[in-house]
Amino acid sequence: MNFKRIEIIFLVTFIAIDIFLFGMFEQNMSMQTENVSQGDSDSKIVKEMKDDQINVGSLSNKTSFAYYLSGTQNDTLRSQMGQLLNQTPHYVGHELDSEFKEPVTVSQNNPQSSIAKLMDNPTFVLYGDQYAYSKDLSTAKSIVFVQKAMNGLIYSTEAQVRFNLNANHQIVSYTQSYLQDVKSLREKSETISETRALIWLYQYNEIPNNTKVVWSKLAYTKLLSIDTDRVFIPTWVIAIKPQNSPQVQLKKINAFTGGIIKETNENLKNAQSISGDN
Amino acid sequence: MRFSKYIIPIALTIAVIVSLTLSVVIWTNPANYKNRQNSTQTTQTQAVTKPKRYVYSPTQAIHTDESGNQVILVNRLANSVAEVQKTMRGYQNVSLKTLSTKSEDKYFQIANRPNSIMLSYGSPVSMKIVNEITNKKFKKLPNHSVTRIVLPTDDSSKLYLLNDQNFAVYQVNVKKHSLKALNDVLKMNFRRVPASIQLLNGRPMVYVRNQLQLQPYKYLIDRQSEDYYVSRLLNNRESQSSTTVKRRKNLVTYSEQNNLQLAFDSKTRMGTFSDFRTNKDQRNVTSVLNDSYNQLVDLGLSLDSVRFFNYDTSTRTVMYRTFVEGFPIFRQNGFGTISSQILNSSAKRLKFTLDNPEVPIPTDQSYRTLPATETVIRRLVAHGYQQKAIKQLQLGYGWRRDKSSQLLINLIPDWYVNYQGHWRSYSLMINQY
Repeated sequence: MNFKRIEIIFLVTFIAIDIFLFGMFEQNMSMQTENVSQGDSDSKIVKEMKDDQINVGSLSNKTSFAYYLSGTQNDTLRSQMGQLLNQTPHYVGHELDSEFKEPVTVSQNNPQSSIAKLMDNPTFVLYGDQYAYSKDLSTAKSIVFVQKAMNGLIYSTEAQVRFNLNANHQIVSYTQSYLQDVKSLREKSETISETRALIWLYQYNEIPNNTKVVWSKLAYTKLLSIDTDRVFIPTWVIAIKPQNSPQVQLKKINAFTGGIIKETNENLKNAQSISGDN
Repeated sequence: MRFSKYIIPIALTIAVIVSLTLSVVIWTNPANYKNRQNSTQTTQTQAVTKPKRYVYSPTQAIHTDESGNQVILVNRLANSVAEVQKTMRGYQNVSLKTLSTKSEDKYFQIANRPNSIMLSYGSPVSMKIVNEITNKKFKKLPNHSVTRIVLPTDDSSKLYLLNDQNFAVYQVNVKKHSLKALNDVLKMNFRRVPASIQLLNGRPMVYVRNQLQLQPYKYLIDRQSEDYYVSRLLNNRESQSSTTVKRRKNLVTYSEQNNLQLAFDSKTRMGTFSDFRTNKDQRNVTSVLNDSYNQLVDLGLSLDSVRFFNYDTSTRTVMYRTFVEGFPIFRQNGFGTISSQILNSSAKRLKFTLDNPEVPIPTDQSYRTLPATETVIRRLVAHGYQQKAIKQLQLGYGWRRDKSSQLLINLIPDWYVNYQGHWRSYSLMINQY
C-alpha cells in the first residue's frame, strides 16, 4: 500500500512538471510567432500615456490598406471657370478665388449639408462632386471640403475648397484648388493602425504631458513635388491640444513606415534635392 | 480490479516520458531564448518588420479558366498573390494524400487544371513554410517540398500542391468551405498576361505566350546609413568589446573580436555581414529559411515589397528581392535586395543593399515591349548561347541610376535569364554579340 501511495505522489508531481514544461514550451513557441507580444506592449504604452495625463479617447487597432498617389497641378480650373454662375472668379497661383455676387444662404446648424447638395452643381463649384466635407478642418466661419482620392481623402491646401461664411450664415466667397488625374502609383499596401500611430508619435516625444488627442484620421498628405506632379502618402493626421494652449496642433505619421513627417520645410528640402542636380 | 492495478504505473511512466521529451525539446532549442531577448528590443521596429507569411509568400498567381486558357494575374491596384492568400486562412480538417511522383502527365494534369488559381514560388519551399501562409492550418502535414499551390475555384474540398523537382502531386483534403472570396479575387482589376506552363530543359516553367508591354518605373530611394547597420549588427551584442574599423579605397570594414565582420562598399552601395561564430550548419529548407528570416529581422532593413525569390541548394544561398507590380528587381550584378548564405559550420554571410526603392514617382517614360518567352530562348540560341545552360527565365525590372539625382532610380522592364547559374539581363546578353 505504501508503494502505491509513493507512486501516486510521483504521478502527481510529474503531471505538475509536465504542465509547467508544456507551458514553457508553448510560451517559447509563441515567442517565435510574430506580433504576439506586440498587443501586450501596445496596451502597456497606451497605459503609460494615460499616466502622463494624455487623453487619447478610444483607439482602433485596425489596420487598413492604402496607396501611393500622384496628382497633377495644372490650370484646368482657369479653363473651366467660365461656366461658374453668380460669382466673380479670380485665378491666382493655381487657386481659384471666387466671390458670390449674391451670398448663398445655408442652414444655420448644418451649413455643410446645404453646401454638399450644391456641390453637385458644376455652375456652383467646379468638379464639386470630387470633394467631401471635412469636419476636422472646418470651423464655424470656414467650411472645408477636401478632394476625394481612391477611397480616401487628400489633406492638402492644393486639393480643397474653403467656403467663407459671414455672420448671417451666408457663403460670401470660396477658394478652390484642384489636382487632376489623381491615380495610384503602386498596388495597395497595409497601413499601421491608429493605436500604433499614436504610440510612435508618443515615442518620438511629440505628445507633451497634459494633452488631449482631439481627433486622428488616416488621410493622404503631400510627400513631395516634382514639377507639376504631387506625390501623396497615407498619413495618420493627429490633432493634439495641450492643456495650456488654445491651439490645436497637427502631427503627421507616415502610415506605411511609421516615421514622423515634420512640417513643410523638410518636404521642400526633399523636393529640391530631387529636382536639383545633386 | 486486475486492470486498475496497472493504471498508476502506466500513467507514471507516460508522465515521466513526457516530461523528459519536453525538457529535451526546450533545452536543445536555444533559439527560443534568443528570440525572447529580441522581442523587447525590437518593439520599435516591429511594425515595419513583415511577418513570415509576407516574406515567404508565393510570387506569382496564374489563373486557368474553364476552357484551360492560362493568364498571369499581374498587380494593378492590388497584389494578386496577397489577395488569393487572404482567402487561404480558414482551412479545416486538413489531410494530405500523395497522388503521384515522377509522373509528368499527372503533374501537368493538375498544373493545367481548368477553373483553378495556381500560386508559384521561385524555388521549392517546405510544407512548414506553406503552413505560415495558410494561418498555420497545415502544421500537421508531412514536410514535403512544394513549388506550386493549385486552388480549384469550383471544388471547395480539395487543393493541390506540386513539386517541380520530382513532379510530385499532393492532394490536400479540406472541409468544404465557401469559394466566394476566391472567385471574387478573379473579379478584381488585374492585368492578365496569357501564359502556359511548359518544360524547359526538363523543368516546368511559366512561358509568356505573346509579346507584352511593361511600364518603366521611377522610385525615390531610401539611402540607409552604414551606422544604422553597425549599431544593429555589431554593437548591440552582449559582448562590450571594441569594434575596429579599417578603410581601404571604397571599402570600409568593421570587425569585432574576429567573430563578426561588417563591410561596406561605397561604390556598389552594398553591405556584407560575416558571422564566424559556430552555427548549426543547416541543410534542410525549413531550417535554412527560418534561420534566414531571423537574420532579416535582426538586420532591420525595411521589408516592404521584399519577398523570398529563391534558394540555391548548391551554394546554400537564400535570395530576397524587392518586387514591383509583381516582378522582381535585378541589380547590375544580378543581385536582389538581401541574400543570406551558409558557407560552413563556422561561417554565415548576409549581403544587403544600402539603397532601396521607397516611394514611386510619376514618370512619363513610355512602355517597353518585351518578346514572348519562346522568342527570347530562340534569340539567345541564335546568339550562340546554349539552351541547356538556360535554367530559368523571369520577367523583372533592371536597376538603373537616374542621371538627374542620386535619390532617384529607374526600373526598366526586361527579361532575366538564369544562365549557368547567374541571373543576367536578356537585353545585355543579346547586345554583347
